[in-house]
Amino acid sequence: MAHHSHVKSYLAVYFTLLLLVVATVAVAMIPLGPLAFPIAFGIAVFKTLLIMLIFMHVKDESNLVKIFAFVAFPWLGILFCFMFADYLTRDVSMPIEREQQRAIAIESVMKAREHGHGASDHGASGHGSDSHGSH
Amino acid sequence: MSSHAAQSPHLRHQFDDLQQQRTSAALGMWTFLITEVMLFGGVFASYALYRYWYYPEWDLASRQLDLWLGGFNTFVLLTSSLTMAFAVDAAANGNQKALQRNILLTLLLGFVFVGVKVVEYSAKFEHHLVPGQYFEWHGDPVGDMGAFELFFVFYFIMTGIHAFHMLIAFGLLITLYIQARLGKFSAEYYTPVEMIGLYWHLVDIVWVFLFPLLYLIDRN
Repeated sequence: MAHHSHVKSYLAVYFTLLLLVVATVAVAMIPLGPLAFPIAFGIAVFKTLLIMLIFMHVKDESNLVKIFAFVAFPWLGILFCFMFADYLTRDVSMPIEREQQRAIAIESVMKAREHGHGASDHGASGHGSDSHGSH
Repeated sequence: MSSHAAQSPHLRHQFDDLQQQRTSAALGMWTFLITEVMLFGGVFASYALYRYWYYPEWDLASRQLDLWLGGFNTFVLLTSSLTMAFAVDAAANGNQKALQRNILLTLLLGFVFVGVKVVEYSAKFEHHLVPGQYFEWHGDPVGDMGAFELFFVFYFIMTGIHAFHMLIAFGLLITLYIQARLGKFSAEYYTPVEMIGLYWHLVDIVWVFLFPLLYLIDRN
């Protein structure tokens, strides 16, 4: 196997990575508001690409290995998208406040328990209206 | 293939040639690295959720971490990635001395990283920032007290899993060094050096994300 040395490109990548570390720290020091995260994340992604393509030789691999090297990231994307699709829209889909939700949940558990013990309908509804009144 | 007159002693019988054998190793290693990305990805996802929930508390908690120690460790780990890449390069060129030297340098830089981590962890113990019974928050008492502790739960789990990977890598590098000393690698066959190199670089990539997420979220 004829192999030419990659030392020069490794050094170039290394110094670029060091510059990017300085850039990440600098970005954190400056008040950038909502831009701070996308910039820091962009730098981290760029560093990852440099390490993967050059240090980990992904650039010289077969297409099959290339696909395997990058396939985890779309999957991570699915994880993040579905998780935040839920959490970021909870306020929209559930306008009832958390305390109210908890009160309703407790009430229904109490009702179910009373029904389970064969309590009369009157007693169950009476308890229900009681806890309603306290709010 | 039987048509090969003189087969390499490194070629296992199930492969056609060394090229195919190496690609199979690379494919297997990357499959393992996918599982590693998913492992850390799950932790990153829950980090993202709590970061979003306890935004101001985590800003304050993050400032308790030592930026300079974290930055120094980032530098150490990136340098170790360079020496690891040099080791693979030396192996590919059949340069045994450079291979052994770079494996040792990588190992040494790994020790420095974990050593700094020990210093950081012990400072957290001293300042009562380890989650649990003895956790005390002396910073600005704004917001949800549990959120400060939760930040340090994530700090210890994330850096802990990362440091655990480093410890495994130490064992791998020591094995590599012994094998290199025994002359197991040549320009024709150095796949183990390459594969352990991939593992080392992955550990470096994880730190590339951990450093800004833990140390740099609010420094202005």
